[in-house]
Amino acid sequence: MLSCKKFAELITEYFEGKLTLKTRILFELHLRMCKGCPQYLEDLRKVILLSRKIKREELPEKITAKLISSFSKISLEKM
Amino acid sequence: MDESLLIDKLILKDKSAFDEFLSNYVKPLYNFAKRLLQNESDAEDMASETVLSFLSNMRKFEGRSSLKTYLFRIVSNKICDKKRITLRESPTEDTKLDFFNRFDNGGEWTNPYNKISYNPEQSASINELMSIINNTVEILPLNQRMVFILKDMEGLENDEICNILDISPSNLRVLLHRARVTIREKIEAKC
Repeated sequence: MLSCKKFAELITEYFEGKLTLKTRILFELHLRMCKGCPQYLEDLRKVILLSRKIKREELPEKITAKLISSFSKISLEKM
Repeated sequence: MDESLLIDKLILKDKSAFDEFLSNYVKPLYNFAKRLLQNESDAEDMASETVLSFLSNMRKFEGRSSLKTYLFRIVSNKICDKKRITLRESPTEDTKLDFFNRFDNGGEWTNPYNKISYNPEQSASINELMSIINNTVEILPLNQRMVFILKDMEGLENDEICNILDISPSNLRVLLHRARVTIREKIEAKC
């Protein structure tokens, strides 16, 4: 049987599908039998889902203008 | 757009290709640099220099890696040089993570586990959690921050991240796990 601590250590590997068959069986058995660990696994899943939703900042005008200007000049020089 | 087609169109000065390049490559690159450097001006300079260098030499781009991998690798190498760290060292044991104080000698939870509570129907609740995540990412060790941003914020595949950061898949998983655990702990502390 896995301990809760060991279960917690293995969660990312579980999400990545990198557990051996034997370890995955023990992991899923623990998931069914423990009260706290299924919640813990779901919480890590929430962290991942919420992180994916965090919006990127827009490019500052300064960068966009610089790149647009350079892009035009670079292409012209090569023609 | 397929990457080789994108580059061909950039060479031909295609405006829609350039807009796509800005949106899908430069914007994430800038965000990556800014999160790591925590300085807007430095991030602007680094992202601009990297992109300008690519644009000046894009005809020579051989496509041995994806364009995204190529650009992100340049920025991550520059940042590691600037911060004088190397990512290839294997992470040390997890014993330094405070999280493992939550388990007794038998590996069981010492206190009842408190799940993260939030109401998915309430955007304020979600925004608060995202804010905690953002703030915590800023205080992660640089190696964990890089992996977390690339994997959980930018959604890159593991092999791309390994190529960008020149780390092994197992090293990636360890760093990612530590980052996620730290973030979860911070959320629990604040909720």
